[in-house]
Amino acid sequence: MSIELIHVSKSFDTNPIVRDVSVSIATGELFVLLGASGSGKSTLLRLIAGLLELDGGTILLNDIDVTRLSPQQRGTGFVFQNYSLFRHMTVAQNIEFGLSIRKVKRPEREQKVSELLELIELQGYEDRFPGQLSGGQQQRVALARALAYEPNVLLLDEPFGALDVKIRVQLRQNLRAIQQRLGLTAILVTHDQEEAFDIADRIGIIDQGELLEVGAPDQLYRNPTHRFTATFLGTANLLDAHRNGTNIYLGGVKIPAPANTEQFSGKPVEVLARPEEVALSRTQEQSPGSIIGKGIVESVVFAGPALRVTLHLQGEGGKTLQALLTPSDVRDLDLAVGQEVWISLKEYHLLASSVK
Amino acid sequence: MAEQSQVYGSSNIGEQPPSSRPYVPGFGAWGLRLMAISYLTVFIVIPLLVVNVQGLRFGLDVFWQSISRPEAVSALTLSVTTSLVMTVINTVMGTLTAYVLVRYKFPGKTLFNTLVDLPFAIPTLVIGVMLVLLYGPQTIVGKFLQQELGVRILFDTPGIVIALLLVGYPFVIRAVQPVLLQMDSNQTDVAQTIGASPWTTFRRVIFPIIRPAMVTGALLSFARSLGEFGSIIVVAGNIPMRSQTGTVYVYTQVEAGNMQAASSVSMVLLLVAFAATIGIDMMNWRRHARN
Repeated sequence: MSIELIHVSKSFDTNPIVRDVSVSIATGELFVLLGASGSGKSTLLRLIAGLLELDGGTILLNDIDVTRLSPQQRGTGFVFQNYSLFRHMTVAQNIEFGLSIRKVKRPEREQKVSELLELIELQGYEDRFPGQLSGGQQQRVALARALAYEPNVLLLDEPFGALDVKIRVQLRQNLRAIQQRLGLTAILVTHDQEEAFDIADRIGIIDQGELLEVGAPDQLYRNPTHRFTATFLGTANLLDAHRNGTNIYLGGVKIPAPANTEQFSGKPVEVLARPEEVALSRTQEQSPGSIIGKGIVESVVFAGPALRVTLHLQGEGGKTLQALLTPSDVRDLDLAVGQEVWISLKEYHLLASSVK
Repeated sequence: MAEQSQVYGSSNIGEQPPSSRPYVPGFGAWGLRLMAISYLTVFIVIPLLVVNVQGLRFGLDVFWQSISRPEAVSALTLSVTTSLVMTVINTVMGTLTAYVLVRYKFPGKTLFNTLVDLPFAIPTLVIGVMLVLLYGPQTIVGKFLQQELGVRILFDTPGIVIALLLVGYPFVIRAVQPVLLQMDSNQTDVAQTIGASPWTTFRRVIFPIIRPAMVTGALLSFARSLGEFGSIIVVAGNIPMRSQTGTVYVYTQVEAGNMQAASSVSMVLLLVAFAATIGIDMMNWRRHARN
């Protein structure tokens, strides 16, 4: 294991910011810490780098206990959102900063700088100053600076947060490629779920200082264990239900229980269906999934490649549901606001009910 | 000190804020310019000219004689050396103080921060009185220093330096503090993760950023202390060849009615102070040009 956190916690004054976080990150893994602002994700990253002292717990880097070591001794590579390049140094001087501290000889330093410039595709920029570079270029230099001294792990704090969407997408794919090529272990902190889905091997969901859930992107999206994960990642339709035998009962409606959900037997549950898992039909017979009832179309909104349909589910709950349909589906159904349709679920998952 | 130079450099006196009145080109702007220029002329340029004319009234030879008299040389040397010593000490300690004020929390910090400006407000004569009360031969401190360590503070060079340290105290602090406040703290964090020791971080990351402000503060305090009079006359008295500084020498010559000698030495003091201010301006210019 390259990074191991064991019961790590940190408070500011009496305010707990990181609560009892434990996680292991394998060598060569890109782990994304995903959470809202103020969730404690950046604090956790600073704890790993040694920029903050932890109140409790242990941190291992490459199987060595670094809990009591200074940031200098930990050898992490840190990249900040605002680049934090040394503005009075050239690109080359920034990149070789870690090497000159380690008293690496000049020819070797120059060799390394030119290798890294090639890696970040900024050959010929050695003598520029940070002020002469664009945001994206500066962030690439910041990455090269963190890679120059071959750090144990790479820690990235919202590295693309200050960039335009287009550059952001391009840069994160570059980062992913570099990370995989060099076999780096990295933790990237972000609040952007699209970014997390795009590059993560695994995602850790953090909320109010607690690491709620860790898993592969698709697993967390399709089959989360926590309600927070379900609602934080994408849009979630949640319906109160009860699991009994091999069925789930939504009020008076019965649908089959998904496989491997025996642990919920006899308990109140919530049914999670993503908007793209909700299907609509004109008649009961045409339903492609398990019917949960009839609903009224409240709105149909253009959402790029798909259309977002808001429905009012009829029945005692009176829930509002979101469905994502292709333009051709909408045309075939001849959907209009106020129309009554059958709602069915093509796929669905169970969560432990938040209602006790 | 980019902000400062912006204030001086980029605000155009002639520019008028947008108003509902129809804009009359020329008059308002020129009127303001004329006022500013006359104000400068009447209160700065003319007195400067008069001193120079007076100093050079009997030609360069006499001017040279006036400033090469042993008393004059000693007085000017004492002024420059004590000011230099003060500048070195205050630059180091002022930078340290600014760093502590920006980076650390401690009880009484707000009060500390207010006290820093006090030397700007206290009459320097009062500073002299305070020092006499503290270091005088009858006081505990003065007695101890004199008898145990054999150091004489009053009527001697140490007294002058101490007075100047007080007078020049705020300059470097107030120049460096805003730059440190503005500095992105991630820079020092990143330097640490890269492996830089606190000293290396200061030397290679913080120092290059605050250096221009340090130099500005140092030059300002140097120029200021070169002209210091009130506290010195109280603390060091007026002993020629020993505790008589340039300004005190000028005062003595004025008292004796020797305006030519007074003007000549004044010119030298002016020249040194002027060089210091020009140095600040040139530095700001260079920084401006680079950005």
